[in-house]
This record gives sequence, structure tokens and C-alpha cells, in this order.
Amino acid sequence: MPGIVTYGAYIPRYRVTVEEIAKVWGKDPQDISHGLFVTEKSVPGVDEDTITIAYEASRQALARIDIDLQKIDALYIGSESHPYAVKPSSVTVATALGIDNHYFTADLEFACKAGTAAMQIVSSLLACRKARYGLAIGADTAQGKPGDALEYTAAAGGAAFVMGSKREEVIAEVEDYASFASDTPDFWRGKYNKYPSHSERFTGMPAYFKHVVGATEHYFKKAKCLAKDFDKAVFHMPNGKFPRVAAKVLGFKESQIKDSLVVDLIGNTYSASSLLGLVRVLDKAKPGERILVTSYGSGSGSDVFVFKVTDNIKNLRKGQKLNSMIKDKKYLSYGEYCKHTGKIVQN
Amino acid sequence: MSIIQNWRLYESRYNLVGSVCRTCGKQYFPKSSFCSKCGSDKLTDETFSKEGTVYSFSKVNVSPYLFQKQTPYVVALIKLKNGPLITSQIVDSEAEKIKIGQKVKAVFRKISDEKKGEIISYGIKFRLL
Ligand SMILES: [Zn+2]
Repeated sequence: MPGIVTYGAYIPRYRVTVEEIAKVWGKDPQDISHGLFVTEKSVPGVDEDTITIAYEASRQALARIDIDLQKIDALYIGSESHPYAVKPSSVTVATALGIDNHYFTADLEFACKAGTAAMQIVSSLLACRKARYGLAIGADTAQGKPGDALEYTAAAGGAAFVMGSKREEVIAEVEDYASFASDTPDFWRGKYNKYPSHSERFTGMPAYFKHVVGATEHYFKKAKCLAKDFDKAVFHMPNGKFPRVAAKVLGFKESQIKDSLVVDLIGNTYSASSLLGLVRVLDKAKPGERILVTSYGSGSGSDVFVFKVTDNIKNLRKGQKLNSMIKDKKYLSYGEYCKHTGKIVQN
Repeated sequence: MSIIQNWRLYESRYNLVGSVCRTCGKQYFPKSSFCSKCGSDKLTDETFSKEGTVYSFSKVNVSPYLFQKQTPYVVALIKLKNGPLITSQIVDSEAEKIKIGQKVKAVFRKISDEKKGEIISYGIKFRLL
């Protein structure tokens, strides 16, 4: 089976706190932080977007191995904030990375699960030997409507995985993958709308939990396994509460998910969320560990991935750890945050 | 600059590809087809290092129209490692914290602000190491 050969992440340097946002809208910050388990979120620089974030995460990944870039035969980017409605992000990222013209590529969108969808496509192309290596990327600069509940968590970040099939190169083998989807109107953004809409009480039970738990249980049944058969687990993190509850329902202990919970520190990075959780788990992973990842994308669907960490992880060059990127930060005022996220209209 | 003129510069802008004079060795960024030092036209493409040092810099408070959203920002002369002196922005750092001689590395960013209906241009900027 194919697997991850190297990985990288990127978090912009800027943060805005829940307190700073709550102050503007007359809300109680403690109340909000308590409910969401989030105290601050990452914000893109004025000149950053999904393309630049996807590029930086990919470059971090590629710097950790020696690879002939012309053997990267596939590149897929999942995002709900591709800079253009029509014109692919993927080709700009590939050109900037120095990848030639011969690669399978497309931009993907499935709310927060488009990054794992990229990983599914790349895994499948590798498995049928149509690609030697492939890049699967999840990146977002998520937009929250000013004053809306999602404004406290909609964050920016990216994660990139170079996947390959050579046994001696794979650091985390893909054991299997599965999906679960249904037509559920919990969160959407119309064609010409800047900000997404969501149905207030609809995002929990019939949306997130039904799909995350449904997909994971579907996999458990199929593979005849249980939560205790995994060393670590990662669940999509729209806030800090949902993944903790889903983990509990599925029988996972806090110790199995605690490494993955980047949401507590940077908010919900949408298509990058579960993938950044995986990065944080891989940053500490030991050979032999089994990792379960279940993403969630509104609309709705969940992808499950199961990885087994190999001995090769010891040979992977040390990159910048995700924790060090999270710690390197500069706080913005609400006004500066609005400027960074294009909320100030100048004409 | 037109869309086509911009497009021709993608490789150069995304990856710091410039020219080097095969006669006298002078390096150019952006690319040049003629050496202003020795008059030679024997120049070849060269990908320069993505690391360098700050040669000089200035904080821009009043910018041209295309960069208004980014003000204040820092424009710098960067001496690339084994490469030429180039003009670029230094991002993610306050001007007060930047010092001449400091090491910088290239990052990939949007160059100009998005304007409705137009192509977004991307390229290299620098960040303190
Ligand atoms: Zn010359």
C-alpha cells in the first residue's frame, strides 16, 4: 500500500483572540471560549491566501527528503477558499514548487474535508500505479461573517503530504480509507457570497456527529476493529468540543486524541484542520503506531484514513515542528484582523 | 503590465530565476539579455539562492495604488547568497526589528492586492530567518 513519504505544515504568524472579537460584539469572551474550547485563532498575512499557504506547507514537506520533483505525478489541493472561483490554485503552487507540466491535478472543494479528499485521490492514483509520487494538500483562509458565531474559530493554515509507494521511503503506510456522505444543509456559501451561512442548531447531531461517528463506525465494522486498536486518533476540529465528544462516543480516551487538538491553539483551519492534527501526531509518532484520521466536511461527508507509522520515520529530516509555528505569533487588533482578511472595503 | 507580460515572468518571479553573463560573470535579476557591464549578449538563466542578507531597507507608509492594502510595509535591498542584489519586500516583521546584515529567506506571497476581475500576481518576498 502507498503511504506518506514526507509532510509539512504552515501556519501564518498572525493571531486574533476570542476576547478581542467578543469585545467588538458585546459578547462575554469567557462564555464563548468555554463553549468552543478556543481562545485565539490564526489569521493570514495581508498578502497570504490558500495558494501561498499551500505552497509554504508543500515546501516544508519537500525540504525534508531528496526527491526528483519531476516524479511528482499528481497534485491536488482541497480548500473552501481557493482565491479564484474559476482558475486552479494547484497549477500556481506546482509551478512555484518547480514541478514540470506532467501531473494529474485539480482543485477540490468539500467544505472542511477537501484536504482528505485530495489524499484519497492521490492514494488511489498511487495504488493503481498511475503516479510515482503525489502531493495532497489541504489549505484554507476561512472566512467568518463579522459578528457571526463562526468568526471566533474560522482560521488559516495548511498541511501538505507527499505520498509514494516505495516501501523504503514510506513513513506512514495507508492501511485503508473509507467515506460516508449525505446531502445535509448545515453550512454553505453561495456563488457570489463572501461569507458562509449555517443553520444554527443543525451543525452538531445531524451533521458533524452523524458523519464523523458514522464514518468511523463504518470503518470499525469493515476492518473488525475498535478504538483501543489505535494509538492515536484525529477528528475534524470545528471547535475544541466536537472532536472530544466524538472521540468519547467512539470509545477513544483523551490520551489518544490530545496530540491532535491543534484547534485549542489556532482555531478551525477548515480543509487543513484534520490534516494539521495528523501533522501534530506525526511530529511525535513512533514506529509501529496506528493512527486513525476522520475528517468532516459540511454538506456533508467524512473520510476515514488509517495509517501505520514505519521505521522510516526515524530517517526523515527534521523540519520545523508544528508547535514551533504555532508559538511564533503576533497578535492583531480587531481592526488589523479586518484588514488582513479583506473585511475592509476601500472602494 | 499586461497579463501576457506578467505570465512570461512567472518562472523568474516564483523561483528567483535571473541571468548571469558568461563573459564577465555579472548577475542580473530580473533576467536580462544584454550585459550592461561588458556589453556581452552571452547570458544564461540562473536560479539564485532563496537566502540572503538585508543590504538596506525602508518602511513605506504611502504606497502606489496597487499596494495600498499592505501599508505600512518594508521594501528592502536583499543581497542573495552567491547572487545579485535585488529589491523585494520583507514581510511578517515590524520595520523597527529589522537590521542591516540580518539573514532572510524567501517566502511565496501575493505581490499586489486583488482587484475585482483581475489576475492575482504572486512572487517572492522575504522573511527574517
Ligand atoms: Zn558581462
